Amino acid sequence: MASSRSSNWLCCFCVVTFDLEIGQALESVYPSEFPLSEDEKTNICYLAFPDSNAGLIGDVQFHFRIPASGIRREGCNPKPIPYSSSLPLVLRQENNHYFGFVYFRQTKDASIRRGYFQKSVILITRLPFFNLFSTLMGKVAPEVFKVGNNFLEVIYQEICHWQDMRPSTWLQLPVMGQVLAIKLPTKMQKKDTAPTFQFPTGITALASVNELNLTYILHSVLPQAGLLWELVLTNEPIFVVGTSPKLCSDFVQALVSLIHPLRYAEDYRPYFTVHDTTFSEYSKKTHVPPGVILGVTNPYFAKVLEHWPSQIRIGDPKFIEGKVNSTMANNSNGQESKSGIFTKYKCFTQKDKSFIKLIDKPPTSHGKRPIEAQNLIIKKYFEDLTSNFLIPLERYLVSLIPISRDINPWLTTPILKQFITEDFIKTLAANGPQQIVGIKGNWEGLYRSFILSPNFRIWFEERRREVNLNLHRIYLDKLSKVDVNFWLREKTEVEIVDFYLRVKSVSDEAINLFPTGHPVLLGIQKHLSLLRAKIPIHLQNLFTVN
Amino acid sequence: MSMREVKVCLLGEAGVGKSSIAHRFVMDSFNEKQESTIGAAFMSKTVKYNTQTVKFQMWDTAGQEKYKGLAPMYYRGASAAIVVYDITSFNTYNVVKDWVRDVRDTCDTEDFILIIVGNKVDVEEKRNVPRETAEKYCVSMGAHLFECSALSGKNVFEIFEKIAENLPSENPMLHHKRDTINIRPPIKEKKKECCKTQ
Repeated sequence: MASSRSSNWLCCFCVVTFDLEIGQALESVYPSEFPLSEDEKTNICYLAFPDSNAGLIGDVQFHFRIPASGIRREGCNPKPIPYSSSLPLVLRQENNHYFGFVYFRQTKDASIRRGYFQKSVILITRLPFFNLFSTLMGKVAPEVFKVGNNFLEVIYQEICHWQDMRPSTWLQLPVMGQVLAIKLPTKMQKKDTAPTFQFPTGITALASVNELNLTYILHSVLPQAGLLWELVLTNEPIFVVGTSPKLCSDFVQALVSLIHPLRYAEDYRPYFTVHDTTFSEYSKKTHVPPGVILGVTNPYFAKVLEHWPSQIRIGDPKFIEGKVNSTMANNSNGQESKSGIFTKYKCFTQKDKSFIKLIDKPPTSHGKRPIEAQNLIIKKYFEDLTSNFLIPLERYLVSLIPISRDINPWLTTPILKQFITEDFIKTLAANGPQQIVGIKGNWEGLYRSFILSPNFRIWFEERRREVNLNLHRIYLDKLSKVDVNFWLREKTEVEIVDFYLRVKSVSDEAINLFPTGHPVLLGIQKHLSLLRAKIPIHLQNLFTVN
Repeated sequence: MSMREVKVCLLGEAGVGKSSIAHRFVMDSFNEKQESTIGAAFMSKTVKYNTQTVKFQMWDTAGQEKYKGLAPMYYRGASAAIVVYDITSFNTYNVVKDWVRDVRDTCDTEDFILIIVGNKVDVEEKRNVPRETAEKYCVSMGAHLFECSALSGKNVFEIFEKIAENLPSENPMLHHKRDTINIRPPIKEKKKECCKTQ
């Protein structure tokens, strides 16, 4: 009854169990034909269980992210997802990584020789929809433990019927007799709106697919918000030591989200263990640590990665009671270390006292601010900080765009001019962020450091691609409207052939940029036939063959 | 005019035509070769009934034995259940009683709508379940009986009309006691073994 269906929402489910002979073992993959490489399978097995988990009892949920390292076989390459390009960058599917959403259970079980039942159910996907998938796994995994692995076939089939990821509309995602309602934002929208209406029977609405409880996750380091933000912004290597995989994965994910709307360019691993295939590379003391962020629980890392410039130790967020849903988070394995940021990095900007005041001060004299409101304040603070930081760069970038009226259809397509760091730095005196964000410091130094980082590189590449595409559209539009007959009057054969070849090469690109029958396409095709008629027969044939 | 979302669950033995009935209702078509449902399929259709718009959210469950333990997941919180049998097979009719008992255990609100449907009346000549037998049973259970044909379409739409007609009134002025029921019914988490063996 196995179906050949596949889904854009998820890749597969895995079940990892503890085998007394071989340790962590992959018990089942559904659909079994999903092409995971041996490396990927090994990584999934080790990441499915908490690293150094002695003595914990209960259920714990966390997630990991691994490089999709496998040899690309048929069916494994991600297909483009409908509507994907209208989603914000941070919500798009990741082609080179898998996310694994783990539900781990460890309970005493006298019927097993070791006396313990240890098993994980993992959902593998390319989508960074943390809330959605952890909510889903919270429903799915307990049922799998109860009725068996075959249940995953049922869930997989249900998810295969989920609608496309169309943004800005309520999507109803049926699963296990319930309907999950979600709304994806578009890339234009700055923030997603929470549901304001009630849902009927059986519908669970999620306020957001990727929202994190920042107040809870970052509480111990929020006073150093600026330092945290700079570390992530400039792709500094960081490892996060936590007492549970859940704390680690949430924390690393929160770190990466601090620079939204920028996308974190380097690798980050919300959960990482000593068994990982890249571990030996990261632990070499002779190498400069790569600009990655790792989340670890094994105390051994503190020793092995001691040459890394920054580590963050996080403890139990005890201040919010009743939120820790596992005994695990309370178990510190006897290693009582103080939490905080330990770094050699020198901060460029000064502390923003207004932020500390803002989050510390309750809005009214009575009672605390609701946690959702507090989360939103923190999220917005960092989003504004990043957006404001980008403003001078955006302004400079605009100055590099050739003016539309200077675009000459008889010449080649114009492109964005070169980014020159020194020229940009000169603009800061008048247009720097000091005025906007009100934080003092060495902003020039921070920009210089950022411009050298991979985060800047992918931001600039994306913007350059967009700008050049737009310039190309304008160019093609102008080209389609030129008077070729008039131009042809005094031209030599060489000039005509030259122009013909150029128009021919852009006409292929134009097909991808404009819908069939668009006036630009028609205009260019008309030019081609006019020019073709003017070139000698033997050359015409030559071009046709090519 | 308000839109009401109504959760409906289709239950019954394998091969009685649950998916075909759902298909006929949603798409008004019939598949000669309907593949077996795995777990449950979800479909929705919006219809106008008198002055109200009703959006049916249908959970079409699998009839195979191995999926039986999962059914409560699908009818939990439903407003109506459609339990289907095949009029040419007495065995499938007998199983209806088990389904009805299980559903009643979970969905015991007074507003719950129970519909029992004998499918395949297009092969009347092979009938094995007399209408009277089913009718008597339905009266005793407070259920509505329909005999239909997903193949010809006969009586299929009437089933859903019946559900729409019997929905508890949404007007809180008329039903003070019920005004919260439609939005979020108190779901009783009954400790029940999911997998029944033997």
